[in-house]
Amino acid sequence: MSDRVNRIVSAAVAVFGFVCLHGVAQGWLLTAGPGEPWLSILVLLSSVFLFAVGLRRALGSDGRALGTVAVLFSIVVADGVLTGWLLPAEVGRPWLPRLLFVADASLYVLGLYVLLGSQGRTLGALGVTFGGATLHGVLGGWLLTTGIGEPWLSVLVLCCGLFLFVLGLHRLLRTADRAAVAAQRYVTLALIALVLFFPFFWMVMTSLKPRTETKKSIIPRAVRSANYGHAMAFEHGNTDILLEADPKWVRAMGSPWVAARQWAGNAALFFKTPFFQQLCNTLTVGVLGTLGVVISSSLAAYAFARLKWPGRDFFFLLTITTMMVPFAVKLVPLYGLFKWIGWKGTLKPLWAPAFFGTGFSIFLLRQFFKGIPRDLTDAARIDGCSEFAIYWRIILPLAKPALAAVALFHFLYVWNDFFAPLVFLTDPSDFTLALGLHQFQSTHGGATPWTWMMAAATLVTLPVIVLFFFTQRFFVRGVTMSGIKG
Amino acid sequence: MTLREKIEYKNALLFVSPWLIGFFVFVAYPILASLVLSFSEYSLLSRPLWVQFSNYVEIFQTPRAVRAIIRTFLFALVAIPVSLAVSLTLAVLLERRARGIDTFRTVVFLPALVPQVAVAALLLWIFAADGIVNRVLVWIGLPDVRWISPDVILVTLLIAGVWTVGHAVVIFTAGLHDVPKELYESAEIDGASYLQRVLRISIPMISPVILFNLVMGIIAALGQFTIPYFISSGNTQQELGDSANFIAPEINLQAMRHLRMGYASALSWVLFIAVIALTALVLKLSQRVVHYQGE
Repeated sequence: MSDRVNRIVSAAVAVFGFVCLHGVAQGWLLTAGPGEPWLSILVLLSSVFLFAVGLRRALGSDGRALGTVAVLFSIVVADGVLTGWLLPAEVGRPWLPRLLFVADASLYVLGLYVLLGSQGRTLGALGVTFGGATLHGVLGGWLLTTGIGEPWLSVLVLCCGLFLFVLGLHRLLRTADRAAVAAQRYVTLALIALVLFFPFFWMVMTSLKPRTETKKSIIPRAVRSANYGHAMAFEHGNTDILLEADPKWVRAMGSPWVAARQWAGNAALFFKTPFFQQLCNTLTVGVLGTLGVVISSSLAAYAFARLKWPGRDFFFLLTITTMMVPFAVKLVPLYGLFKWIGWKGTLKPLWAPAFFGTGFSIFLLRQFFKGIPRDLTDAARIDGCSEFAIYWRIILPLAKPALAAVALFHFLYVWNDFFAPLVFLTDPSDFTLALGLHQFQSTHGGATPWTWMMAAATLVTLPVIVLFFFTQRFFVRGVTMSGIKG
Repeated sequence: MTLREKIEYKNALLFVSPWLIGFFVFVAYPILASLVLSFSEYSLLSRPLWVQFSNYVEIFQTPRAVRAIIRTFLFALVAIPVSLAVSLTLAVLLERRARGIDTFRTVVFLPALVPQVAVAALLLWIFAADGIVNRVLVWIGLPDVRWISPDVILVTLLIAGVWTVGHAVVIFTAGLHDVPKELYESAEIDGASYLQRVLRISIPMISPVILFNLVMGIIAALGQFTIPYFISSGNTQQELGDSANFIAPEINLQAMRHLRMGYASALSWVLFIAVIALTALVLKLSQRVVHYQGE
């Protein structure tokens, strides 16, 4: 017991000392400061040292509370020194307060975060952080103005801060709370998710803005869906216009209301847009290729997984190695080959090879086929089933999820593929969506408005996302299968 | 060979025959043909002219090609470990069962679905000189960065790579899911901290999965084409020059634009050897470290 009291007292003393030191240092550096930069460096270094020591203790299994307190307040000290150091030197920079605000805010969040992790005590951590922040702010403000304003207010806030601080420290040193650990993880995940999601958000927001507004607002003030009309219709392009875009279509997209009313009349125009044509091309390659991959890869995978034949294992190894060959390595001979048989400039080079299987899908299906119990097929074999019947009637129906995953992967691969279409396609009317997006960017003399560009990017991305949401189950299982055996 | 074995052999051949053709025509032939072509001068219009090693010599005497090769390696050397570390960290965070975790998993995975061309377009817009990233930086008071400039473009590409690590995260998560829970429980009883449990149990247990993702990362990083090609071909072309040029785009340029098929083939063999060598090195080095559970 006396040990705990000892700890509380020492922590409280240390922390209070730190805060005072910080405030005084800041005030002193501000008034007499610029002359002694070495002093701020010294204080900064010592607080960095304290931060490291505290962090180590915080991460260790013992003495966590004390460690985190040290971390938090060395952060405060470092912050204070930096403030003191920066302010006099940079007076007159309007952005400085904003920078300091952001730095302060993130430092306190960090402190709170560290506290939460140490067998977290939510309330305690909140109290400590808030208390620390208040003390810091009040001391800083008070010493800065040295009582020019209302010193009593500062004193009041200071007392509140002290109270909260003591309360927080008290809670902090009590029993552990698992919920706080979970809260820490949620905070982390939410921040990560926010950052990762932002580009999507920005893409869609930009695509809905008038061109003049891209730099003014975050959320568009007036939705301009005509961007999508431009992205689909490709008009204003200097060259490579696939089909003369009907201006009526673009104008109709200009206002959602007008668009809704005229939709029936203008729907036919959609089928004439280059976007629709590229969509059809992509779907052709995707559907045909997927069909081919599923058929021939499952056949080969059956031979690798369920039949014994000399050279099987060696050839399977070769099959896996084919995954390691970048397309660029095969580019020249394949180009020559398809040019020679007259397939250059058609969609055939993009889907026909799939009818001979791909290493990745064979590998994936083989792993799945191997897991199907032998008894099932042995029984059928004794009954006189042919090998093809076993494959067709027993294995394939059981392997539906794996087939779905393979199909999905290949379709997405086709949708995403840019290199092969770029090499093999020449006529813009054959272009796939990926190629179309690139063309859209480069045919306006590099002046394609970003709002149109983002609308086009959204159009290319959206179908994949929608597809994913409908097939998530197969998808995740497929990705999982691909990694299991390494 | 018994009759049964013969029949099985015949069946197997039938089953595997489409892939056999595919393997020889669409994989083996192109690789070997490009090896042969790499020793020749060939423009598709006339017959190949045997020139021995001069293509290879030329590659290593052309500053542009040497820069592309060095850049590819350097980028891979940084991007692969960074992506691996990020995806592993995300997987560890996403592994625990918790309410709403599936939403987070989806959000982390979504960027991996975005077509590379759209990633490239988005990258140019977000990191433009007056793009949102710079606007936020300026608002805070930090200096703005010329993200799409020769000096910084590799960092920008690295950020785009980190954004799209979703596939690796899903594979890692699945690997972590298979680690026996008893290991964690007994470690917790012994007083191991969370970090210790991750470092001493999770990572050794999923080392084969790490190896798998590492090899996949090598292949993807060395052969990357779409994003570098896209960002160096629009109105940023002038500004960037060849500063975002990698081996694969260089192969494409030499073969498709300059019709130098022999030279491009030599480049593609440099790339192929690089992939094979790096993968072999990683597999060799990993033998001691990677821990396989009993089959």
